[in-house]
Amino acid sequence: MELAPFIVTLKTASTATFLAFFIGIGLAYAVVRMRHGQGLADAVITLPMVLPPTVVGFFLLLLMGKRSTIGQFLLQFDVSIVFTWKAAVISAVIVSMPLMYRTARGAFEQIDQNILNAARTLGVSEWKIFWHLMIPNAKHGILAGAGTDVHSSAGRVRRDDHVRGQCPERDANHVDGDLFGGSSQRL
Amino acid sequence: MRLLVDIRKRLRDFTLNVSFTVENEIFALLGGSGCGKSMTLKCIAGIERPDEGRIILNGRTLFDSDQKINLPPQLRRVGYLFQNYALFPNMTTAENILFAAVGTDEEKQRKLRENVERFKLSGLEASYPWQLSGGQQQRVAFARILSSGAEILLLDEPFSALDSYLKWQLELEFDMVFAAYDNSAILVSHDRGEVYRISDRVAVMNRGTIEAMNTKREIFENPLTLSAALLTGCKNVSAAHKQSAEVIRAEDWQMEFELGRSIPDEINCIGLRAHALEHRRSAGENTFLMRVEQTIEDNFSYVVMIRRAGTEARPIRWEMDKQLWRSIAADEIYVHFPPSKLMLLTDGREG
Repeated sequence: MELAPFIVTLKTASTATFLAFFIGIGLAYAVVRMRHGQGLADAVITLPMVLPPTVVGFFLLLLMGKRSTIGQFLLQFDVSIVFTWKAAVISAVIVSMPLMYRTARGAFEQIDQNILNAARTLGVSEWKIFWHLMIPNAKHGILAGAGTDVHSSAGRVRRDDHVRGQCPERDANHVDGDLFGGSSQRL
Repeated sequence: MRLLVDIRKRLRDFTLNVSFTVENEIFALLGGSGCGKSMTLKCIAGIERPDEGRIILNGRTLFDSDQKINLPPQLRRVGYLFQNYALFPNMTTAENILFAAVGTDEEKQRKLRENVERFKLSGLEASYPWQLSGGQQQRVAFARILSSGAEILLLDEPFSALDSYLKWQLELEFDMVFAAYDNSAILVSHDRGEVYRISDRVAVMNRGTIEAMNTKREIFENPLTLSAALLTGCKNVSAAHKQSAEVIRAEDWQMEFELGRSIPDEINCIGLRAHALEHRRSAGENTFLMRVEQTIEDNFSYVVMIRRAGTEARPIRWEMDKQLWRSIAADEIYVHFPPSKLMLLTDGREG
């Protein structure tokens, strides 16, 4: 039995979950504290969750492919993202992070605003409020989000795109698309 | 302690526009729900931002729209007691107090010991908020505010969630709390009794503006506006018109009163507290024959609804001791309206 796909899946999923966990919480905190434009930020962050995977992949390719600005910039340092397991991580993070973000945001919003305001009037810094009040009191919601996130990341990678990326007979562009998008039309 | 507040803020239904100074006193904002009194406190604490104006505490500018100053709540040193006390649910009593305390570790420990003792919290240091009674929670909230070095105390309906017995217990303990603040605080409440017992000076708020502001005695005896009269618990009001220099006619009650003092032209309402009426044996000046429409037995008093005999005027509410009513009960009765107790009011809504 070939173990490589399994190991790559595990590696990608755990890295993606780890990243999505912190990025999701960070974005949730930022959006909860926004005074204006909450709706817009919310829409942009959750967009990857509702778009078809091919579309997300296509956008990522446009953004990071060899002909894009970011791709060109990275190439100067001899770094190419597409074609590697890092690409799979990025795509998994982009698609699964909204779940983490949504649950974390919901958990933050559940906290009684008076408790946070009381801490503020008592002179407690926003940093301490985040670590000692918001995180402990939103713990359960956040952990539930993380659980869903692992599944989501693993599911993303499970599509064995990266394995197909190693097929020599396929042209590079198509592989890129698979790597980023998790296209489900192939085969 | 001196606090100056002069702010405006557009709200959904009206514009909040308040201006007052608090100086070594307990100042109360009395108003119905949604009149902007809690919003005023939140602006002082920095939780909400006024559109314009300024707030100055002990010479420090907390907010000034002209100078573009808006200190975050953390830097204002304003103690805010929330209605539900807002204790940190994931922390014990001691942790709640320590979390807010300022200074070195040693100073924090000292503040904890001092305040645990002051607020009779010993033995409860390791309890979580959900294990404490309402009264204990309030004491922890005070201990926390005191440890944080606040310069003024803001109380947002501190007793409204409590039953009457506990409420009374906490009111008795308040003296001790106020003593720690040189007897300076702002109390927000809709309960006139609470306001009268606790505060020195009262501002009556209605739809975002202060309608009347005076010492509590003056404001309860002479509320000046219709809404202030109603908020201070006046049970009987009537539209009124000046008939001559010292005579006023109460339209809703269909009565004319000889006041013995000159009546300002702008008066368009008259008010009378339910306890102010007096029983008489016969007719006389400001004494009318009244018909008893209804009697209601309350726990310690009788409430008697009376209207002028032979009319369909609006009934007037009269409250008295049970004993007194039992001795005078009749279908028709002479009632004296003491001119000094008739409150001359203006209805702000008519301009």
